[in-house]
Amino acid sequence: MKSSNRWMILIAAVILAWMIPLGTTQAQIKNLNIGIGIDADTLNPQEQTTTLIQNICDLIFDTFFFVKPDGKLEPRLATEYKTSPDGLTWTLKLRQGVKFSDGTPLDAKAVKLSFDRALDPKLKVPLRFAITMVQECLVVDEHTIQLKLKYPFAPLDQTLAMTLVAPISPAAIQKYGEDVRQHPVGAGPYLLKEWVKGDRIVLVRNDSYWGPKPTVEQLTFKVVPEVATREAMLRAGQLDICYKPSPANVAALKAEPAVKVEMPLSTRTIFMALRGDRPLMKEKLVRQAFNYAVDKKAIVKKILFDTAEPMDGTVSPILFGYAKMEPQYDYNPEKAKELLKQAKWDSNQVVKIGSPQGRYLFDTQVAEAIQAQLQAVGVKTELRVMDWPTYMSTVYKPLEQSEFDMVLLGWGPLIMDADMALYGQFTTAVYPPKGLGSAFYSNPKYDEIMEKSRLEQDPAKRKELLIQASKIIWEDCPWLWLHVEKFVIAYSSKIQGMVVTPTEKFYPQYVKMGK
Amino acid sequence: MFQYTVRRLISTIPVLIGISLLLFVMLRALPGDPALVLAGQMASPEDIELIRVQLGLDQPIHVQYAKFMSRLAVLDLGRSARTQNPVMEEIWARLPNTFLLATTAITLACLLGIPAGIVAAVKPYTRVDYLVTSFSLFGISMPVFWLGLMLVVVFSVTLHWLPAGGIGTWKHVVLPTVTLASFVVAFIARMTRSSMMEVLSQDYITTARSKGLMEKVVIVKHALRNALIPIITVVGLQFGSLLGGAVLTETVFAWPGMGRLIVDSILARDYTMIQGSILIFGLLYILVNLVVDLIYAYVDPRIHYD
Amino acid sequence: MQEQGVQVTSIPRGSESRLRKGLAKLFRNRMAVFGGILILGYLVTAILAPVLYPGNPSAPNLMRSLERPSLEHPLGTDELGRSILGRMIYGSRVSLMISIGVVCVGLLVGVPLGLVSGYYGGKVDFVLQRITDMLLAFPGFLLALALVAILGVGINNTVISIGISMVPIYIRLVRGCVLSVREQVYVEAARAVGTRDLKILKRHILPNVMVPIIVQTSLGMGTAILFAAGLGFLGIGVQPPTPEWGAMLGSGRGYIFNSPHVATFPGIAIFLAVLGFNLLGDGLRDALDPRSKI
Repeated sequence: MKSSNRWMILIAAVILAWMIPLGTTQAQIKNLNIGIGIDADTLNPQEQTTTLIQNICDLIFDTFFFVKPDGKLEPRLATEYKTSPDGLTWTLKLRQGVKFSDGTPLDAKAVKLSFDRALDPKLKVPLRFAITMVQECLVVDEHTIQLKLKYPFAPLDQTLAMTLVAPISPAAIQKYGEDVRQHPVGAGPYLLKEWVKGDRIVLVRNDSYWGPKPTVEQLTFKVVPEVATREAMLRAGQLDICYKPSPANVAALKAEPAVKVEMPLSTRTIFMALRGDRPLMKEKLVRQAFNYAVDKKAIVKKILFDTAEPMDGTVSPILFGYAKMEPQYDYNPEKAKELLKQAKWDSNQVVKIGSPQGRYLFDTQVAEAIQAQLQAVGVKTELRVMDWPTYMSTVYKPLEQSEFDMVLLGWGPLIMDADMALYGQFTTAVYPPKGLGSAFYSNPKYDEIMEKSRLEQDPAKRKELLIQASKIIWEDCPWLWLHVEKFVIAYSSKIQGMVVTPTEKFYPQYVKMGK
Repeated sequence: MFQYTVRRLISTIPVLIGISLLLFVMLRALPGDPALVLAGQMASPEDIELIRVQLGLDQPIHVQYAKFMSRLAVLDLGRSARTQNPVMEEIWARLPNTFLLATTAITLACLLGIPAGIVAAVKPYTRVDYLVTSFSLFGISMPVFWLGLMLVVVFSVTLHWLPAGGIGTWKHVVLPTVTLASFVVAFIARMTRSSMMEVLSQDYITTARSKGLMEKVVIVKHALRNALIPIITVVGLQFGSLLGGAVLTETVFAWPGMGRLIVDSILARDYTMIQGSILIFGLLYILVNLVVDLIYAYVDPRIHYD
Repeated sequence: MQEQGVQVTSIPRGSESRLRKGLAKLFRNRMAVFGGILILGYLVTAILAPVLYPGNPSAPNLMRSLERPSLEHPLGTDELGRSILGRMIYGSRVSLMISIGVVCVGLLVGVPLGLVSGYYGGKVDFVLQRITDMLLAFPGFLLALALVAILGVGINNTVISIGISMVPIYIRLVRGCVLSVREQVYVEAARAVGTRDLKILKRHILPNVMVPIIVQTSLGMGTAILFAAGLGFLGIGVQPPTPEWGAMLGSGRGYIFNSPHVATFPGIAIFLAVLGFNLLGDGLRDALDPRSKI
């Protein structure tokens, strides 16, 4: 009797122990509602311009490598890579047995086709500059490709984590042609189920996905342009995840027990480009004075509600090549006045400031604060605010047509490497109209170091070069160094295990639902 | 009647061509280069140029217009510069939503506005009248987006009764409908009131009353019928403009309709999309006016078209 | 019927007495008087703004941002630490300037075109009316929005855009009135004795068109404020740091859950000002032009 009882208890205990995890976490989640601000224009990964839509593409296509929350790379569609000693040939091993969601095998030929398309000058690829170093893609065997480069480019592994080069199913390209942007077929954990223009994008689980099976069956991205409404929907339980809530309400959302907020530092820096081609901004002392005149800490705290960090180096701290710079341009109006005096600043001159509206977090408010703080040290200013399209066509106009001396802009490197910021903004190679060097900065010494850094294969030495280059511009102040944005995402506190990366992306496919 | 309808439809063609020409010239005057906007901040000058060529923006404006018109002749509005999708398809995705919201809002506004206007007209300068007038003024004076946000805060966030935004169930329709109707109802109530007051002062109403007809019969059968024409005009006008999309309401309630589409296209400098949606809108507006005219003839047998 | 009689026989001199009678009637209308008081308060605030709020309403003070209402800042502070009361007081100036500017554009362009169109008829009328048709085929707000996109943001362009969007309304209104007067006996008579067109327009026609114009203007001032606020809400109206109620409400909505006062007070201000113009406009119409159905 007794022993059988004991057995019964034991069995019950085993059953219970087995059931408990099931009770606390639901293994299968039917659907997650995600509120986003804009509808997708295209779901072709090669035609992307915004991070958010690239994020959705990642879920459909998967990438060669994946940037983990700690910034390190994880192999996905590619398992390993080798670099030739001269740095001009990269050999990439593809994961075996992977199929696109339509059943087409993901082999070297398919990858080559996608690369060829990304490099085809006849096709629209807005972010192509990120892969301009690639000469061509060669098929070695069924599961191996080789990338031939025009010049060595050390952070190419980071580049291969970009949505831009995610392989597209060749069968889908054949079937839909350019309309593949409406009918995306990739090898990712999800496939497109429904796309109701202006309202929602619905993804369902891809049952033939090569990796671990996602716990969430369906992801519904709802287009909610008004941020206050988006937050209201999260609070009302209509949304499970709210993409980029207003920084002003982050504190309140955090205080809400039903909501969790994450905000890792992003790669995007916000700055005022002090245009070197404008007479008023020519003097280094003036540019330094401006940097001392603006209280960046107050801006971050009061206007951005700590959803950003003041810049203490030339790039975001999470990038390879970052270093904290000395001296720091801490808020010091007295020093600013002194420097202006040294530079013989004529206080009757009016500095024309430009700012977009609604492009970056509280952009106009930031510009207004800067305007007021410059005025406080005796610099007359005039602020003009424009909508983004008008602004964009004004900012890069040459000297004689431009109306601005300083412009508020943001620059978010797409890979975790300082090259895209330091090369892409300050070398003579990107001096407008050739490129997008917003500060119209040109310095032969700086160019030399940056070119050298691109040839350097040893990461430690390359990092040293990037820091050396940073020191030059930190001293020269082609920018008014403002802040590094954080990527804010709020979601139901029931959700556990959300993956949020420093590249401003989030991956909800393996989350669990607590009680 | 049929002949009249056909004639009216044909006469809309020059107006539409005029609109298209006006639009074409106006759009090209917009500051901001569409290719630059489409390419994004990080695109190279070569890619921007490529996009410009793809959009046909490198050609002289009259060539662009000729191309646009020749496509239009076969009812092709071209492809959106932003999404590369046929403009027709994009509009079709939004039009039913706009139509739904416009219909519910105008229905609600009629159901509230016409009776309220009648009551106010029957008992002018009484408390009821003041109440109706105050409420309708309230609706006209309130910034719609503010009202919308308040409704969201109260009914979605605090009370959790209704969804704050999006489409799907009947519940999603309630708040945007109420927001829009609060504005429209005012026009309808005011028009009903003044139109009814005028009719009620007419001789034949006095006659009808003196014949001992019930007040209800007098009001509904004799007065309302005669007061209906201006009311229908207002309802038609309001419905027509609701079809153009209630930009602000759609923004607040994340309603994927025509208004939002037009605003987003303007902000993205998507020329083909703006042209297409505004042309379709102009056509709809003209059609609504035609229907209103035809309803006149139905309501008032004295009106004949021919 | 009686009122209709008045209108038919009304000749220029009659319209003056009608105006006087109407004003007396207006003052008996409690709601219109209330509207008038609202507008008067609004005007006084706008004129006396520097006296009422001596500080600079646009100077940020980041350390004091988003404070709740207090003695020092009776309506609290906004996201840049500026007094909301101060900004609202100065905002009344901006809104007033906008509404006056808009109505001026509407009147200056719309009234002459309407007069010409109605008085001369013929080809001029046909062309003008087709253009009006086209413009009227768009809801006013959408038209204003498109124009702002073309002209660019800022206070002047906001005024011009909203103003132009109102022009077709004035053209229609004035043309309709002119048509109803044109064939009147006294106009025919004036024409028969060879009075110049300009004189006829000025002396006989314009006075008869005045009343509906006055009513429409009062209502139009309210609409102008609402339109400007809507553009400000979408972020393409008057630009910061100019304190405009709509833009204040637009940027304040970002703080609606935390600091609702930032959006609430400008919302109330817009509502009251527009209400004032509507009440007054309604009263004017009832008093001066009871038959019109604007």
